[in-house]
Amino acid sequence: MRVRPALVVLPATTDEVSRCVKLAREFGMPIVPRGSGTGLSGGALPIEGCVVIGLSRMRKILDVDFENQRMRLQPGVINLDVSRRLAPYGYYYAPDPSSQSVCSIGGNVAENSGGAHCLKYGFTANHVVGLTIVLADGEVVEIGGAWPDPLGYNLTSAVVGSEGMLGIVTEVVVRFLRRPQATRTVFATFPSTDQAGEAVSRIIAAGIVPAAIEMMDKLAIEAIVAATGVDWPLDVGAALLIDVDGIAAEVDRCAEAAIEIVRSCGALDVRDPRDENERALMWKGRKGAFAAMGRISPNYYVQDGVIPRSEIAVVLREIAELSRESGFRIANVFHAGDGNLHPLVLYDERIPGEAKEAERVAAEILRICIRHGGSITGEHGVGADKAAYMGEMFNDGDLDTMNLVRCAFDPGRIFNPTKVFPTPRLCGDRPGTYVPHAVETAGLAARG
Amino acid sequence: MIIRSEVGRLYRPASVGEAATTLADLAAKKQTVSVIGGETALDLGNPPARIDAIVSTSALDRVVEYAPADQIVTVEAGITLEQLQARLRPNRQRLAVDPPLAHRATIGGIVATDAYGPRRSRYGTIRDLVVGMTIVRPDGTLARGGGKVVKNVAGFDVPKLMVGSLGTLAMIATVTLRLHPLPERERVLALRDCSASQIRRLANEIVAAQLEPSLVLAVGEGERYTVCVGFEGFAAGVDAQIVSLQAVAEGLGVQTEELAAAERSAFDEAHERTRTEGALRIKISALPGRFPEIDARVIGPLLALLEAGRCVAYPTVGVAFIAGKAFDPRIIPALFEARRVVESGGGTLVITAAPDEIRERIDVWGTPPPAFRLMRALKERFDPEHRFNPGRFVGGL
Repeated sequence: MRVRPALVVLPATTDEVSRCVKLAREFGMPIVPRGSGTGLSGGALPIEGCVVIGLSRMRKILDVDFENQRMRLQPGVINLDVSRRLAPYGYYYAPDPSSQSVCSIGGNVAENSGGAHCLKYGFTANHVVGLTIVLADGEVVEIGGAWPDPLGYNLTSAVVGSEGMLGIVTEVVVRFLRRPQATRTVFATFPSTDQAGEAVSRIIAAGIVPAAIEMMDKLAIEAIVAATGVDWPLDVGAALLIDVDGIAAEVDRCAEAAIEIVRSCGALDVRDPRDENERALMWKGRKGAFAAMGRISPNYYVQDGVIPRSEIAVVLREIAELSRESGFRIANVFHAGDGNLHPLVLYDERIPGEAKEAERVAAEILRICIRHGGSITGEHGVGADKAAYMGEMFNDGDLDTMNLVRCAFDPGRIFNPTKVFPTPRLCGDRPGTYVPHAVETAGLAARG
Repeated sequence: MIIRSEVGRLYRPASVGEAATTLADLAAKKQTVSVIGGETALDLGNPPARIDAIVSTSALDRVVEYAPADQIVTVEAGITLEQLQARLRPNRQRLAVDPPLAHRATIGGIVATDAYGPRRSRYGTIRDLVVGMTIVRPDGTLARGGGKVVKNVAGFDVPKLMVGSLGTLAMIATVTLRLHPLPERERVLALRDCSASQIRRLANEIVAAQLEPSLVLAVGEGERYTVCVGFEGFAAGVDAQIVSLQAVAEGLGVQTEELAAAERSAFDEAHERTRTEGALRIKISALPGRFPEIDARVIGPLLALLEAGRCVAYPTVGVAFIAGKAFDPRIIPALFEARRVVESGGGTLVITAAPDEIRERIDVWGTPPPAFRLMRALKERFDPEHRFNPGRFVGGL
């Protein structure tokens, strides 16, 4: 996992980025763009002989248009600084990854970052409307636009989430939101994850669209309590942290309904903090969950997989089974509302072979997600870490189609060339013989 | 209409697999292809340079998989929006888009044209709701992108790229969509006799009061507008917002009245007519803050040159639609001037329907965007032989 890049450059302007790209191309060096380096899939890891273009010096907020709720940012701006800039005026930027105090907007664009609140508000892709990018030949182009329905193909959608493989983003135009009238938080503990999972399903079935529903299992709660000092009960099987926001009268209605539902699902302890500090403390506990693992284990492997929400209880039981079989403790703290799991496989790297074995167990969790109709990544990206599993989720035709997009932008494959795709794919070669697609073999479709 | 079903040989594949076989055969014969759905957007774009084959999705109208607990549905492209909503209603769910002609518009067509209605201001467009897709590429390759979970960043987002690509990159075969709960209550207030600048102030006040309307629809009446502001959700929240909006309107010196169901459908009809009828139809997109300027410098001058001219706008989104019959030759220079005004401040003016004599004199799309070379590169990669709707889209894509 450690590679020393041939060169690291820290340009300060779009023009400097363009000149770096032209030079790298001239010398035939691959380029790895990098923001804050907080990614969890290794998308920004250097590769052999590459130029790392770090965007951290480009951290200006260029323009804020309150009337139209748009702002133009450089890619190195820190996610939380966007909302901080807007807060005095009663606005905020919705995507809120747990790393938001350090991660950059450019990195968020590369990974299509989410966060706890994307259940209601969507991901980076739903909030970015335009980009300035430097292409593989150094040309600078603007794509999308601040106004609705820019003409032609939606290139912004292609670039958001493309993990630095289509170009280097040097300016980002985002849409920001008015702060809601009210927010209420409900915290509830349960004897088991089964009951917590049932509560999640019933809240959604009641027509409530919560801003967030986070679940933590017993092990995660223990770690969070040890690390952050929140006063959560320890002798429970699971906890839910639920945010509802919006129109004040509706928020009250939904919070009361959620409280009733969690009680009917066997909740042990239900809290409804009205004090802003207490609410903030609970969220601090949740957002600090990964780091808290250090209190209960020397090392941990963060997994990121997605399953249909209705399968949460079943999948958590399968993960518990995997934990028993493998002997590794696995903590679960995740975005239950959208089925985005973050199992944390706890291990000790001082024990020979254990790191490798933990990685194998984490990979097994991805296979469970795929089996249940889910995805190998909900928000951390494929990067270097999961390229090997892309072939288990997508077939050759699917990957070949994604590669068409890449080849349209970067035919020479100079941007982040070893990431995302499981095997090297060239541009220009045509697909070969016909292979039945998974939807055909599954009987969903047949050739007439 | 730029595509008439009688011009090419018609194919109606009855399964996704059959669609792939059909397209592979057409590829082997080097035939050009236009894929059609509910035929509600056949005025949009340039006439394709050649149409050998028409592939209709009308026999691809099944719900493939519906998981109410996950609020996810997978459908074949040819199902109409109305059919889909009927399937979802017993579970008190819906697809939160409201483009015109729901009884004819197919999901595939809505995706291909990124069609939307006034609820865009609250729910976005179908691009925000698509989570997965199966496409058939021009060479007959079936490919899947995305998945059937709402949160998924595995690989490039090919499905979102297909949204709005107007059948020029691939055929959309199945679509997986995120659903929303049906609201418990819906109420609509009408604000009569508003000027464009009052509408702008209204939009700002709605934001200031932290209201979350489900739709803001301005229906032109002469030089003034009636603005319908709708709220939907749980009863308590809807009722509270109606009271707040009445206070906002009073502050602006505008009369409000609540619309009963019959009055609402009268506005819905006026809206649908403007969006779908009239020999000349125009869509203007610009930042919402420009509405008073667009009204004075673009909408007014164009309406003055149209017979039975009508206008509707979604002022919180930043789009306006004009429809009517052109009778005055000065419409051509007026369209050029209108487009210049819109584009120079950031925006687009697209002629969504026009008689041939207008199409011959002004490009329906407008100035190709600065990143046009990337669009051409995408077209080259997906459809290197230019067989899918050749020339129909922006800049002849």
